[in-house]
Amino acid sequence: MSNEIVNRIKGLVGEDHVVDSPAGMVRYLKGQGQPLAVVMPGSTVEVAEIVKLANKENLKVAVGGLSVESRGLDGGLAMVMSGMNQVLEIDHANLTATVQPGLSHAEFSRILAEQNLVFPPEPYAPKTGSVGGCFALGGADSQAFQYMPVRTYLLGYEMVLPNGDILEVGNKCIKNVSGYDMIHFAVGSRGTLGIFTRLLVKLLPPPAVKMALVADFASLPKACQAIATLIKRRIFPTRLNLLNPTLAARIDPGAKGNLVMVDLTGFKNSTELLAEEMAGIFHLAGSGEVRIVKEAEAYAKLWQEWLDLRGELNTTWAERVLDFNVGPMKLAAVLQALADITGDLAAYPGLVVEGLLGRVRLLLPAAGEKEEMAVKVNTLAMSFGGNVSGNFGSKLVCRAYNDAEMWEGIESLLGQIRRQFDPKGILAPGVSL
Amino acid sequence: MTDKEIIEQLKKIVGEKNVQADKIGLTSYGYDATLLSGVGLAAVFPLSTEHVVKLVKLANEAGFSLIPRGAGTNLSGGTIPDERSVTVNFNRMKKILDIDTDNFVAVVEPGLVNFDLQAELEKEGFYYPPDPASYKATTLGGNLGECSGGPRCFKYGVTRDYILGLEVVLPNGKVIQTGGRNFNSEPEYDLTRIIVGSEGTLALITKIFLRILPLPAAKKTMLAIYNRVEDASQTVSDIVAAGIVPTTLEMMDNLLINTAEDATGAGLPRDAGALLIIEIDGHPEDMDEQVETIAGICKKARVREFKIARTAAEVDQLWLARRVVIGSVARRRPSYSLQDITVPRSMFPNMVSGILQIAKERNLEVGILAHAGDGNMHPLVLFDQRIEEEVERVHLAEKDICTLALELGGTMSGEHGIGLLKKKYITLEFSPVAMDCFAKIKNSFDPRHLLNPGKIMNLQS
Amino acid sequence: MGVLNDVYEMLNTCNKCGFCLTACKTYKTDLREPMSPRGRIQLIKKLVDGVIEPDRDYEDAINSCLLCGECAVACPSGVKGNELVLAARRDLKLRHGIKPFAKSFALKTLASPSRLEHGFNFFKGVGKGILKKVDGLDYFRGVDIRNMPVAEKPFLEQVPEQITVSNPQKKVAFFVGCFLNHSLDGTAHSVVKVLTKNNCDVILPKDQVCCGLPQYAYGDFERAKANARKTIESFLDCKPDAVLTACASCGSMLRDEYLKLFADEPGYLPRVKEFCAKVFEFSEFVEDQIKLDESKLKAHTSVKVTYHDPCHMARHLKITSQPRKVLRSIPRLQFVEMNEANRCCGASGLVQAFYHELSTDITRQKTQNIVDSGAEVVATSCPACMLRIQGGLNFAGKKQTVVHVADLLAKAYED
Repeated sequence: MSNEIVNRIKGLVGEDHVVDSPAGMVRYLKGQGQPLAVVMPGSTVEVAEIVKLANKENLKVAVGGLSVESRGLDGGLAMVMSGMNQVLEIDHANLTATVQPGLSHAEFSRILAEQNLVFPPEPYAPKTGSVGGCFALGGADSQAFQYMPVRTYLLGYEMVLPNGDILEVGNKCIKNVSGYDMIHFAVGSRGTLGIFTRLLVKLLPPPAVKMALVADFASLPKACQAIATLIKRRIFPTRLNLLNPTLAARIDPGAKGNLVMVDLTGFKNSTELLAEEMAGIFHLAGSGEVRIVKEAEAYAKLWQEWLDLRGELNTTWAERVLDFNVGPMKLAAVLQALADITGDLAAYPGLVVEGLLGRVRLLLPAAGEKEEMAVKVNTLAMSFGGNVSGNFGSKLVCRAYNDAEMWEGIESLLGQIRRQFDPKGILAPGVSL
Repeated sequence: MTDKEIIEQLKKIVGEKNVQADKIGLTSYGYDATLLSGVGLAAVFPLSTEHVVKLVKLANEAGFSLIPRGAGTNLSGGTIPDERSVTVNFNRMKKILDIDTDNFVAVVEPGLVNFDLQAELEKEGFYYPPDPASYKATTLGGNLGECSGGPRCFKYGVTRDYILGLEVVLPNGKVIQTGGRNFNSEPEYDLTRIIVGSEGTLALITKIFLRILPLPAAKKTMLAIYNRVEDASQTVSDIVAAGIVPTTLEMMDNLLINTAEDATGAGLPRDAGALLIIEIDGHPEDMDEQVETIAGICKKARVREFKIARTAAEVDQLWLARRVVIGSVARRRPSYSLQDITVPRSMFPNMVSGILQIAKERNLEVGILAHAGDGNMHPLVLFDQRIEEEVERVHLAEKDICTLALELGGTMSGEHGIGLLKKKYITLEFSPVAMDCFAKIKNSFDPRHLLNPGKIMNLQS
Repeated sequence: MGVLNDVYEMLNTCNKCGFCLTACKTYKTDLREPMSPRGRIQLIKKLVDGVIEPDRDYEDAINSCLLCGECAVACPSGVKGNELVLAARRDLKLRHGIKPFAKSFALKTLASPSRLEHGFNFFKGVGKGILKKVDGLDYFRGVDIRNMPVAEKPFLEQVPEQITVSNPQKKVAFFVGCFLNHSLDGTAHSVVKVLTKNNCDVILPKDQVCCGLPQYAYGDFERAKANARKTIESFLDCKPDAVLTACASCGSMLRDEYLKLFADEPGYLPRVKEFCAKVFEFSEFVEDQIKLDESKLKAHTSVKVTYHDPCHMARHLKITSQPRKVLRSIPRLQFVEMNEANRCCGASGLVQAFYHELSTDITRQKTQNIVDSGAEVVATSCPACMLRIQGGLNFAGKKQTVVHVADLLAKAYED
């Protein structure tokens, strides 16, 4: 039976695009699940045919750019989109691009740079992240204060739905309120609603000037104070990130303490003035060393280091990361209170703060502690008007409020939507809502 | 339950003073800013989330539908009732619950008027970017329902981009919170985004978490007048390509320049093809550089007059024509139908010439007002609603305009929504698969079709 | 129905965009559509179209309008909601007279000088006590009854028919108006003082009557016309250089509405026009016609003053800068603007009596703005606003006082 299915799939996409030996599949899989085969479709029609087959045979299907999460995928199909990795169109007049979902995010950025264009979202993982994955995961990155969350860059898409139907929505207009907003609703759905086969994304012209500031702070509270001062003085750089010494050392081996990393992009006059002003603020706030990075190569290297670190947090360390949000002006107080739970944050395995968003990520010593820590951290975050991110966070909030009814309301609605689209539950079995 | 019993129950829930079921009241809640009208069962004014929950439960029991309404200024027929529906007016739920400028959040009730929020925020040096033209009258709940835009949204985005979270009452009477006070608070599926712009068909919004921003430190206003629409359009493309993102790029065509001139006598050239109001904001240090770039671009596009406002009074002067334009068309004909199509920026000139062609074919006067930066155009089709035959032609022209926008890769609605008015054309824009997805969304939230039934699309219940 | 058919073009021009909603104080306070300009206009239209009947609810919608004129300013299509409401009231009057009886009685009383005097005398005597008992409060329907002044005898009985100065530059006929005559006679004296200090002869026709606005506002054009004709004739007979009023409402009636009222009498219209051209509001006259000599003004104690623009000043007569200029010219007077200075105070003739809850809410918003401005004194140009706002301030336990611009200016001429 299973052989026959593999053969039919080979018939659909060609033998070269199916891997079914356990040894061959390893490089495409994350986790311990054992799918029937890894399949690499080359077109929308192929994706649709595979999904129809899976639907008929009740096979689970999970999708990835270069590698696929195999949890819950035993006996199912791992769909790798690397064969659909083309840039189909770059439209300079309308500042849009049409791409296939398997296109590497990093590669896309490189191609655009050559054409003097920018796709602002940070890659989820620079080495393995695809554009399709970027939108499947959604969220808001450290530039979101200025550039807005990831979803705002999706203008339309083509998607194969769990029943094999092909859905096309969106257009090159940045204003569009026709019908339900399926466009942004798909962002962050992690492959549960369908499989992207084509994406229409929004681009920006590059900023006139880019520069960075790196400030070394021996004291974490002082670094937080510096961030608060910037916000109070209404200085909002593109990124305003903070790393504790453990992680700072990875980016800058010379770093002695906590590192505040600032990205400034914009017009020449204001950017230069702001850089000077911020350097002054950091000095006064107690930074031992402030560097202004203007040279292009050094600037690029610095932010590549940041993106690599972000990639590690999102992938390798994902199980150890606890992610929560509070208002940006509350960071100093939150971190002080957090130290009561974690002990000295300077010595902690990892602390990353995205200052303008008030987002804090903790790298826990071990994965096993996550649930217990999450409850404590969520309680703390809630007392500052925030909460642990995502669905997990919502659940914790409901639990903390002892509001089982609300949680039930959310959960049943999420479940209802998923069932409406995927009644047999074949897509993204590893994703639980 | 008889209608009379339903009304008694409604009075029990929200109190006598918060129910209108008399003839005059029902007439008054039967219309919006379109030509459509209907008569509902009653109009109610809930004062709290608890009231809304009880209303939803009663609707479930008694089998009537609920039509959420803010100020009733929508241009899509989105709040037109039928005889089995109760209009839920949120305009008495209008408290500002929190303004937290430190953390860029405001928490409000849905009946708060956009302008009233802006006035409060301004005291703190902040603002809420979405500014639909009707912002002085419209409620934020209504803005969310339609996902309103406004002149500023080319730079700052539309309503959905400024909503961090919601408290809503679902059609089953359950209260849930979506999102929160921060980005990244959404529980997996972006429930906030699907509810915003759903025209009141998925859930009743009872609390809104908004993102607010500090007022920009500097602003510059410019006025450019062209012989041809194409030149204005070229200017828009070139400004964007130069990396400048103006807050406003408002365009008026020849007909509107003339009606505005009739109204003001401000000295606009009557033979001009287009007028563009350009506004930029940001750091004071960057203004001159950008103004210079824009001036160069305008010159290259053969601008015939280019003015930069030096004082607040001059800014006012430059905006004068734009401010009076809608009223000025009333001098020609008593009624106008305001369309809301959007096309990709590159298709802008084609759309303009296409609209003028349609006007000629249908023998109608059409003036074009556009948020040119984002390709969102408001053709004003002029007519008199008392002349039935002319109204027929207006409807045909509306369909022509929508069809053309879709042919040019655009959409029927950039910021007004579909409602009843454009429902009949929605399958021109969406495939059966997309329509099926809409149905799935609707059925997940509201399987009994209690909320604003018959809006956006027809569904079998 | 003819009345409404005449305005059908304007009814039809309302595109229901709703821009008027925020401009309307009754809507912003009550928040029901029939209490909004758009709501009222649509109801009037539906009445003409035969969709609805002029029932009690309809009358409430029409009669609760403040006629403040803000909707007309806000309307992008140039629809004048206040004029449409006026037409609707005229239509109601023609259908079945003015209801309820109390309103009709009040309007008739105002129209007749003898009845009015009797009215005030009665009020001064036992009326206050009775009204207090009715509402159980000193603040009868939002007006501070206990502190409401009543002139010992009408102003016109206190002064001669003509007051002459030694070096007359202008001959001014003073249209006193009901409120200044019977209640705020002090303000009337202030007006006379300012005029005489500025070398104006003042004529005070003894037979002057109510301008007719209250009757006009409720559609009783017949009674309004009778009073208007009397006014025009008695004032033109004096051959004045100017007809002066210190009441914004009277001013707008005398100068603008008379022209509309007599539009159907082309034979008489030239006479009306001759009269209207002579009408000036107090501060307008002081600023534009006699050009105040600031060096003659004396300093008194420092005081912080704000200005309330009466609806009839701001939107009907469109006089806004002159009263401010007058105030700023007074030595040691510190002028501050309040928020929404030109929003209606809620008085609006009989609306305050028949929709007193609504009216009281609107007045509260006004008094809050006054308090927020930090002013100690509110100056204005309309006796109806003065009484309403003072009542509201007293009701809220605030110590600010309300005076007429003329009162402050007259004080600057005191030694």
